[in-house]
Amino acid sequence: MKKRKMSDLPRDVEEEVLCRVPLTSLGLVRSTCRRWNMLSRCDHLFANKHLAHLAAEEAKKKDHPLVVTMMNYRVELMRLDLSNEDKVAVVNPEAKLAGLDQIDVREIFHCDGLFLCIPKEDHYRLLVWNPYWGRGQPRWIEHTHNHDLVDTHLFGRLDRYSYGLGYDSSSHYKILRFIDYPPNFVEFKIYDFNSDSWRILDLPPRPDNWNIKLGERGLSLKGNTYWFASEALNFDAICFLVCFDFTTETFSPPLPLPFEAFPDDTLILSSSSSSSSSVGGEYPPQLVVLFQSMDTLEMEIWISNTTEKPNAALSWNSKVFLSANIKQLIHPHYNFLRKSACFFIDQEKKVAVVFDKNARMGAATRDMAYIFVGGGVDDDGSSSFKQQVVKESAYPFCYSRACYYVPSLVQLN
Amino acid sequence: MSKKMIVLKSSEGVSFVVEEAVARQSKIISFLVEEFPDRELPLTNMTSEILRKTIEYCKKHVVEDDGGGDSSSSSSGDLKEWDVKFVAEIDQPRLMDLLMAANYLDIPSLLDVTCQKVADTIAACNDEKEIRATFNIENDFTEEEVEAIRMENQYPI
Repeated sequence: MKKRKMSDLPRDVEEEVLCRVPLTSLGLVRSTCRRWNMLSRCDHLFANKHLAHLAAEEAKKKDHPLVVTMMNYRVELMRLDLSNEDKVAVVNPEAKLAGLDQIDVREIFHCDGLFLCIPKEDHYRLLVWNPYWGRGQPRWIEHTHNHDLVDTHLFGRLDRYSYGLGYDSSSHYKILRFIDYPPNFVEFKIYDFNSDSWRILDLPPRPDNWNIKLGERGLSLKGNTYWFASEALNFDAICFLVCFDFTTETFSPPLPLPFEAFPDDTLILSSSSSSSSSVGGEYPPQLVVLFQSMDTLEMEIWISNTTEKPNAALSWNSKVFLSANIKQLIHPHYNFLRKSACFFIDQEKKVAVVFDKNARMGAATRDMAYIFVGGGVDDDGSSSFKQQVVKESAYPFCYSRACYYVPSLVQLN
Repeated sequence: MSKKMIVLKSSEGVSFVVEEAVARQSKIISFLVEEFPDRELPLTNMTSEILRKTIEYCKKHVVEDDGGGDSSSSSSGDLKEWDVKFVAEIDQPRLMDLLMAANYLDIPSLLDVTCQKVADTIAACNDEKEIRATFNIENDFTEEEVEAIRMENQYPI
């Protein structure tokens, strides 16, 4: 019998096949032949179809979200298993990512399929990149430092800038980059992908006199970015959230948290689901915040009610989603660190996974996943805890990062 | 009430007598039955083997609408499982033929499962050489492109 060739297939049937290929085989498809390469890189109709299939597949396994992680300065794709079944690994490597293989990355930010990567060594450029388009597409963005002020006030450290990635109401992507270190060094700059340029952002005076402390990491949700903030120069002040709206290029007024937290406590932001723009509005994403009191080391996770407008008052679920006694479960002195911990939850399964190092400061040897199940106020009170080694940590001071990944077709050019 | 039967003829001239409801899952046959009632339908580009497979699939997926309730209408979960087994048992060349048949006869659900199976086969390949060998695809990249691709190759996306 004559062996049928792939090229015997009509073009539309070939597309029907290729749009069912999983994300992790896309590189392979592209390197098979020129036709497939062109199709999967350049044909937006095909890409849309492929994305729709991927979204349908992802929707079937909501408790297995894809996350992009940075550990040991390397970025890769992992899949979480939040099904809460015994004997399954919760964190599973899924794929390496083309485009970032030669670059050590210090931090990553995600916003609807687009990643902002801060290189470890190169202090003068940022990398923005959509993994869906593979290696061909990263864009380098140059920037400058205010060296005089950095030298005077930040011991010359060029890695103290904070970043936010978002988009305005016309879906134009922007980057916010700042140092908010009053009274001497306050600088907010905006990069606009359309004009490929940076400009100084003149913020109006902040009546509550708050600032976003050095080292805070923002979370992008629906195009805007949230940070924790508190009164400047006051370390007994209560913390709250602020939201930067990339359309109006202004910060929201303080958005209260559902508990009293102070700058020394652990506060970490996450969102409730990976499904954002591409999967539709079935589960609108909510903000989720992890709080660990420095005094008691009790951990609490709270979920916001759905956020409709960035500047609307943020309200919170009246009950804590999950709480746990870290003293007992991990170590009598263990606290999650603002700058190194990330977490994910599954609301239906009552699961929270917190990524952090296994020890503080230089003693850290591993990147861990701490898995909490149950322990909420409104469930039957049963709870369980386990931990998994995700990676041996070659660099104790490399603060790992993980964020949801939802493929999208955003292009920068 | 006896069910209406129609005759499908393969490229080898073998006749298959099939219930009309079964065959009508193909939009093409559905159209032909209405245009040419009581005639044998020659399917000149389908071998008996592939036609038999296609009919097997359609028999399993036929939705009985005579209200009898005694038919073996399967639950959607069972049916999915059956589909997976159905395509798993077919070897690569025949799978491609079946895919072509599903496309030619316009049977959307069969096209879906066969396309998915081919996509899974692609995903199961270890490298692009294996894909090319499995699907008989010519490497048409230039030397420079091969070099660029090689740089990229070890990475999934």
